[in-house]
Order: sequence, then structure tokens, then C-alpha cells
Amino acid sequence: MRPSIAFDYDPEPRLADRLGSARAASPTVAAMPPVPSSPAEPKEIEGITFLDLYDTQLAFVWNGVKRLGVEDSAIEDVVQEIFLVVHRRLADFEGRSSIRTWLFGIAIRVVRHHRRRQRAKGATALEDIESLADANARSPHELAEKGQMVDVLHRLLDELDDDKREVLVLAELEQMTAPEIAEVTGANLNTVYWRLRAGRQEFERIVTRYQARRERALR
Amino acid sequence: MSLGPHARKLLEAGRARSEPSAEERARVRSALVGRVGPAAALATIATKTAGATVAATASVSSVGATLVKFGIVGAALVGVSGGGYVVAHRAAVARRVSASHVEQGSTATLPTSVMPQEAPAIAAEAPPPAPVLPLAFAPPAAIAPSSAVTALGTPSHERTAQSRDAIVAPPSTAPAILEPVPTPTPEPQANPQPAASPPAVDTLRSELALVRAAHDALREGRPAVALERMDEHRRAYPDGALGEERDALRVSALCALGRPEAPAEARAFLEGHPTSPFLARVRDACLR
Repeated sequence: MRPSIAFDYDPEPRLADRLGSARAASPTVAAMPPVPSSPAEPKEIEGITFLDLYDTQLAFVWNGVKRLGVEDSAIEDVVQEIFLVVHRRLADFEGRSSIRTWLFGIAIRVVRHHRRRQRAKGATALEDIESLADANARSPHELAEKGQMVDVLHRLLDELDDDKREVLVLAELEQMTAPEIAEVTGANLNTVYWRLRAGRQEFERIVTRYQARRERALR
Repeated sequence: MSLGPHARKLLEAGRARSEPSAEERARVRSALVGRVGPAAALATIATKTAGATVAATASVSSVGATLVKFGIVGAALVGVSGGGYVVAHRAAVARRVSASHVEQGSTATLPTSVMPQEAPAIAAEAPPPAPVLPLAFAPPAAIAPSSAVTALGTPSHERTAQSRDAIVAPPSTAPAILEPVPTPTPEPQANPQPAASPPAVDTLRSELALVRAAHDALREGRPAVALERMDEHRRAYPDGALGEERDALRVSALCALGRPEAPAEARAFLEGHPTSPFLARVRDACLR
């Protein structure tokens, strides 16, 4: 179990409250930015409803969830869970600089929880990656369908560990800045930079290996 | 070592957004409305400042505005049938108005916080005994959809969270005070404490205002005005949260005006957003 447990999504709000007090007691975790867990003093934000948030931000959340490694069949459930947490935590939104980093902070915790549960169930989400790509294509350039390339990308991202995948996805696909990623993931800025570097290197190796496998298969 | 060309290519492909279909959008939406309750879903975000009373009437007017005006992504996509939705919304409004009266009438005897978005959901779980609701707002039969939707699949932890967080006026006191409910007078959008909101909220609110204005203008047959609003939006929020709505409305306005660049812009939109929920709107406006 990682020490940053306080940042993991927890479906039981009361348990989150308990973790909140544990967080204050632990010096390592206390150094990280706090994730408020109880509605303090919500301010008046007239004119925007929960459904406005849903309608305007759904595509963003949907897409992000997919990129973070939720299988297609579970996306709807995970997205629904995210918006339920959003609804429960509307009060926390106060004072945030950006709706999207706030939303993504919630999304990432729900996704982590989902992936852990999937793993515990022994779900093997990895399809045979070779079967995905057109057998005659030698490189990603030549993959006829762009959608297929995206599938390959997601399968390759699955080979990264979760921390690096998150940072790589947020930086390269969501195009967030390092401070934004730090806010979203709850990691500190140095950690974000380190994970991004390491994640890029590892991803490059994964892609190279994938290319080599394909070359061999075609010979 | 940085990323090689293959890795780059894959990541670039991954930046293309894949969006939920209109059906998925509507399905999740109605599931959410079912789980948080229609009133809670439509209540404006946030409720009170420390010890202050709830601006219930203000919420009512802006919720109404949201529902009525923001038809693009609002009522049109609701999974709950349109009629039930509006009716449920009305019931919520009636209850919220009653909450405001409870407060105005007997502030001293009540807890300081009555949370409008929580109260109706809880009221739906344990409906007050046959409240005398003013007909204009919610005929008694109309409350059924709201209760049914709320009862559907609300998990127990959700419910405890709601009842834990909300201090609600006891339902039994509501009916008596309900009698003299007036029509809520719409108030101007400019309400007190705008300075208190964080910048992101201000941004979204401004974006929403422009998009709503454009939507209204289009519906009223004033595409030039809609185009102006959307150009304004594009200048102010090039990467705004409502960029896709903006583009859809903009293209629709161009088509309505019969501008020479309209067909190319429409094609660009359809190709750029192949799964957009606004496809039908753009097609309707442009490809006739």
C-alpha cells in the first residue's frame, strides 16, 4: 500500500473522514496539499447547477477516464461514480483555480479505486495487442485506422505502472502543466517531473519493443 | 532519452478526443438525476455563507433560467421524459420557495442552514403527508416522478451522506406555511457576492451566459446576434469549457445567415466532432 492512501478515492465518505485525521498525524503525507473531505463553508455560486457541470464537463471526464485505463465496458459506471462524488463535494469546489483540475482530481481517485478493484478480481484487461493492429502495418504511421492507433496506445500505456501512466497521460494527452498535474495527482512537483521523465523513457522503451515484435512477426 | 517518432505519433493520435454518444450522455445523466434527485441536480451549486440565509428565490430564478434557456444541452438531453422532468423541477421550485418562506417567517426557530439542493431529495424519500401545493407549481400527482426517480437506486451511503450533511426543515412544518406561496419573481442575474466566487466559476458562468445568449438569439431568429456572441466567446475563451457548444452555435448561425464560408465551416465541424451531441443541430441548420 502506498503511503499516499489519503489521496485514494474512497467510496465511503466517513472512511475518508477518518483517513483525513490520519493524514494530519502523518508528517510525510501532511506535507502534501490537502484534499478537503468535508464541506466547510460553501459560497454562493448562482447560475450554475450540477447538471450544468455535467453537461459541460462530461466529454472531458469521459475521455480522461478512458485514457487513464478504464476498460470501455466500465466507463459509464466509473463516470457516473465520479459525478456522484462531484455532487457530494460541490462545496469543496470553492476557491479552486480550475474546474478541470478539480474534476480530474476526483476522477483520478475514482479510476485508481476502480483499477485496484479490477486487479483484485484478477481481471486481465490486456487483449493480445498484436491482434489489434493490422497485420500488414509496419509502424503506427501505417495503421489505417486512427482509432486502432488509439487502442494500441492505450494497451501500451497499460504496461506502465499507474503513477507514471497518470502523469504521462495528463501531460501528453490532457496537456496539463506540471503544477496542474501535481494538483490533480496529489504528488509534489518534483515527483511529477521525475515521473514524467521516467514515464517518457519507459514508454519509449515499450513502443520500441512493440515495434520490434511487430517487425519479427512480419518476417 | 526522449520520445521517438513512433511514440510521438501514438501520443498525438491519443490526443483526439473520443466522446460519449448522445445515448451514453443521456443514460448517465438520467442515472445521476435518479441518484441525486432531480431537485438536487438542478439546484445551483453551493448554498450558504456562514450563518446567512439561503438565497432561495435567487436560486429559483437562475435554475429556471438554466432549464428554460439552456435547452441545447439541458432539457433536450434529459433521460427522464421531458414532462416529468419539468414537473419534478416545478415541485422542487415549490419546495424551495416554501423553504425560503419558512426561513423568512420564522428565522429564529430554525437551524441556520437549509440546503436547497438537499432538502427536496430528502423530502422525496419521506414525503410529507399530502402537502397542499399550489396548483400552478406542482399538482399533487406531479410529485410522483420526482419520488420515483429519487428512490431508484440511491445507495445507502449516498443517503446517509445526504442526511448527514443536510439540516433540513422538518417536513411536517412545511405544508402549513406553503399556502401563501407567491410566484417567484425573477431577479436579475447580477446577485450579491459575485466577488466571492473563484475565477474558474466566473469563467464558466461568463461562458454559459454567452452560449445561452447565442442560443436564445438563434431561436428567436437573430443569427447575427448569435454570431456576435460566439465570436466574443471565441476571443475571450479560445480554449473555453464550452468550445464545442460555441462552435456548433457559431456554425449554425453562419448557415442561418447564408454566409459563403458556412458550408466549409459546417463540414469542418462535422469532421472535427464526429461524435458531437450537437451534430444534429448543425446538420439541421446547415445541410438542408
